[in-house]
Amino acid sequence: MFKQSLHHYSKHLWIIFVLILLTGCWDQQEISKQAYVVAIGMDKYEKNPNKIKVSYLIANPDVGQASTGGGGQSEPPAVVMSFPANDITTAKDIANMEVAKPISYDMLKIIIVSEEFARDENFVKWLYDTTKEPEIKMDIRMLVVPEGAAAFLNRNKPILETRPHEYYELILRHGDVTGLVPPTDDLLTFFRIAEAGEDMFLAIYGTTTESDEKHTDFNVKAGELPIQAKVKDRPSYAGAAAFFQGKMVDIYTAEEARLVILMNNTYADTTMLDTVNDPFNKDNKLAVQIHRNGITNTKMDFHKGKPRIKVKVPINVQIVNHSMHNISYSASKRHTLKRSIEQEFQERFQKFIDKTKEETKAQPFGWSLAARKAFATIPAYEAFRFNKQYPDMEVSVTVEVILGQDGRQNKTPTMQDLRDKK
Amino acid sequence: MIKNRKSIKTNKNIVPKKTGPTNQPTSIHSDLQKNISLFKTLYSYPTNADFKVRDIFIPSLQKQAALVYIDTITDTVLLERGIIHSLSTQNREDATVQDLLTTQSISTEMNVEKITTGINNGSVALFIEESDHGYILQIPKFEGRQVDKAENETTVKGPQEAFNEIAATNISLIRKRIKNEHLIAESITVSKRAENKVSIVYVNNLVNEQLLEDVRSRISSIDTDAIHTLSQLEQYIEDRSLTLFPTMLYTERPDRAAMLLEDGHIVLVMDNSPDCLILPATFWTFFHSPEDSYLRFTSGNFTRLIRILALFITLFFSAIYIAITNFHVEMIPPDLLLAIASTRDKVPLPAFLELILMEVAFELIREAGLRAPTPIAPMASIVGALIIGQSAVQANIISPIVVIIVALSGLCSFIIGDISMNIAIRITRFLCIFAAGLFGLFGLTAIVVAEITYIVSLKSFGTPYFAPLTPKILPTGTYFRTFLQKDIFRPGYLKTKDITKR
Repeated sequence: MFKQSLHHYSKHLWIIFVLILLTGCWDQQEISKQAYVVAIGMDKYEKNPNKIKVSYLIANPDVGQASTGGGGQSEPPAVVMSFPANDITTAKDIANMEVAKPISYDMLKIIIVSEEFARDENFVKWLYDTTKEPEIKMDIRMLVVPEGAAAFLNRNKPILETRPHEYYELILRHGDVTGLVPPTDDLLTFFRIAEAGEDMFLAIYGTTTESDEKHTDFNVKAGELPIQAKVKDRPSYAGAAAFFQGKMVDIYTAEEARLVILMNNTYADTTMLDTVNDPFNKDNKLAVQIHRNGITNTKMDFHKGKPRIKVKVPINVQIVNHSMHNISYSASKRHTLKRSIEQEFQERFQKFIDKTKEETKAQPFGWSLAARKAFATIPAYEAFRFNKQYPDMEVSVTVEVILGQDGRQNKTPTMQDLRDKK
Repeated sequence: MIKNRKSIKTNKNIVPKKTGPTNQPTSIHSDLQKNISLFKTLYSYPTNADFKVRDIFIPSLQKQAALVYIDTITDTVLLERGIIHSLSTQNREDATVQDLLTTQSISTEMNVEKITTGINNGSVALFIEESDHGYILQIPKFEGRQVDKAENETTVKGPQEAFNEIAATNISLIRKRIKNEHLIAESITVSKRAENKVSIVYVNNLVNEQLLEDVRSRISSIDTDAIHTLSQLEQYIEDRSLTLFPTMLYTERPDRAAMLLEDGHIVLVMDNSPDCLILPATFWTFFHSPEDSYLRFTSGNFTRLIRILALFITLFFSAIYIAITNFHVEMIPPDLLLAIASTRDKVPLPAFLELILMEVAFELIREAGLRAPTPIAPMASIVGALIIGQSAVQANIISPIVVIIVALSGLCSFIIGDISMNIAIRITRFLCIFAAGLFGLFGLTAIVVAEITYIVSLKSFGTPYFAPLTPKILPTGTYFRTFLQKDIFRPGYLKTKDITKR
């Protein structure tokens, strides 16, 4: 009886054993036997237009580990290598001519593209290679640099972080929070927008070079803010590279990027610090914390006369710096401030929209989605040709400011009070 | 030799199993001397040193008599005071033997076999001249432990006493908790030669008759010479002998037994077993602890939550580590990935072998600590801790993260108290590790599905093993317990005669 059942089971065991042999494709990889690429750089390759220059930033796991068994503190934290390749998948094997361990894209955080390459007609073709590489996750981010990806990676000496993966993770995360760079725009969104061909995609704009053109405030691009530090070649990230139909067409400043974040419902609601004009003192600025309050309401009117777009942007404003005005205690002051901020933001929006109409003839606000609602069928919408019509459209933006609840504020004396006492 | 053994085996089948006096008279003689010599030959007197025959004269009856007993299992103080003294000093006319004796239980018996059984169980047989029946006076005294503290299933809050090796004491401990005439302790002899007895304890107005009949028939169908302990009996009566998981709860706590008796379970008690067997048992029975209901509602459920967590850690922690580091590297956050990669860098073994090495070392240390004599056991654990914790890492044979993983999952495996379930979980863990090492998370998922299918297919005395979770039978006391006030139903899967607890 027992023997019989054992015989019965042994047949099953054989089947399982055969199954193990059949599996064949063993994608088992020892964790320590791989070289992890944290960032890929993509540049134009001048000598051959059919190739690209690929740069790798490979993390060294031994640096920054203070545990027993680890080690190698004298080794560099990361290695940058650049070489021409046909695509980023075969680039792996080319890199292995120098790197001992097989290259893995499992830890890839960011793709860095040179501005020149991004503005190339064929750029999108090269970028589509990433979709065919299973190790590249579609949620990685894209950074556009003017000086070239290889140069950026080689010059990039972050001030406080040694380990490169940590640096990129932190800088991306913090960029999202401050709204200085467009948040949550990954490769997947890039392809989706490029394929639809009607809206614009915003990638992060950064550089290690310092621009001669110096600005203050938020109306800057990366490299334009006069920060003084002893370390040379500091990377900075501000503003956005705007892509239309898979090709880079424009650079937005940090403030413009923020306007897009405020207006475009597809971006997550980001809380950012900003400065606005002080309605009570012309020379002064007030610090405020702003975020979109709910969703932007977009109304399209395409069927009567000139096509019109009406946008209502609700913004929640929290005054951070009262500048001795004691705004919280006066209803009239609050009202004045509210009107002033609404006015200012409407002007900002209007200016930016005019710019998009003139320069790129495309918009980054995701309006094509809202435009579809104005038509009964998709063919009707397509016949309308939204993009062609956009530069001639009449866009009116109304900003609705809701002043945040300040809570109890300590009263500051007026300037006059202080002077009189003296 | 082998031939000899075979012949013994076949002989065994021919010769009747009972050791009774096959060519001896079945009932005793009226001649005292003949009776004495009969029992002397039966017990191989004088080779058998503790078999005693005491001649005595009873003045009241004016007759010669003999006391036959085994002195190592009888209470000699009672024998002297209650029997020898009473019989030989009193001189009353018209007094019967019953009047003279002060022992608590006296029975008359003519059958030699039954008298032998009585003597074997610690009774004294009294034969009187010219009388065709003997008297069996029960004064047994088997040596054993006192009621001790529970050592394997300790609780902080709640009763501390545990069963010992004397069945009578164990039943007394249960009766102390359930003072009810419906609590029945039924006795069945299970083995032919050693005559071991099993007590089936149940509450007769609760227990499901069908279940009881099933238990009775399984026990009485056992055909063997000796079953000394409940753990052996368990293997005779369990549903499937090959199964990984225990289908009966083996507990040393009388409070647990009483609690489950009140729910309609059946408890088996036996001499020489410091535990009892409770049946039927489901997966959750092993997972629960009596302390759950001693602790307050929140605390009791918190400990259960910890136990679930421990169960999952011990089953899957090592397996997930292997799966992720070998197949799904992209799932690890970069900092951790580089930390693992950095420490793994100098380790010569592949991650899978490294983990298996540590797991096996851990099992060895555990087994060594368990089997080593008490004075040596601490040394085993110190040496083990040194080898595993320090030296293996310093020698770059093991990476520190594997030490953490093996130690944590090993530690968590101790939280499942029942030894059979504990071993089942440990075996399952190795299955998980192998599956994960071969096929990553896919393999792990497959083995988990297979395991759950297997567990669900099990039955304990007709009760589905995963009940009441699946099949869903209310009330469901599985992951968490309810308030005692709201706990009004007995487990549905037991099909008790009385469903409610109030």
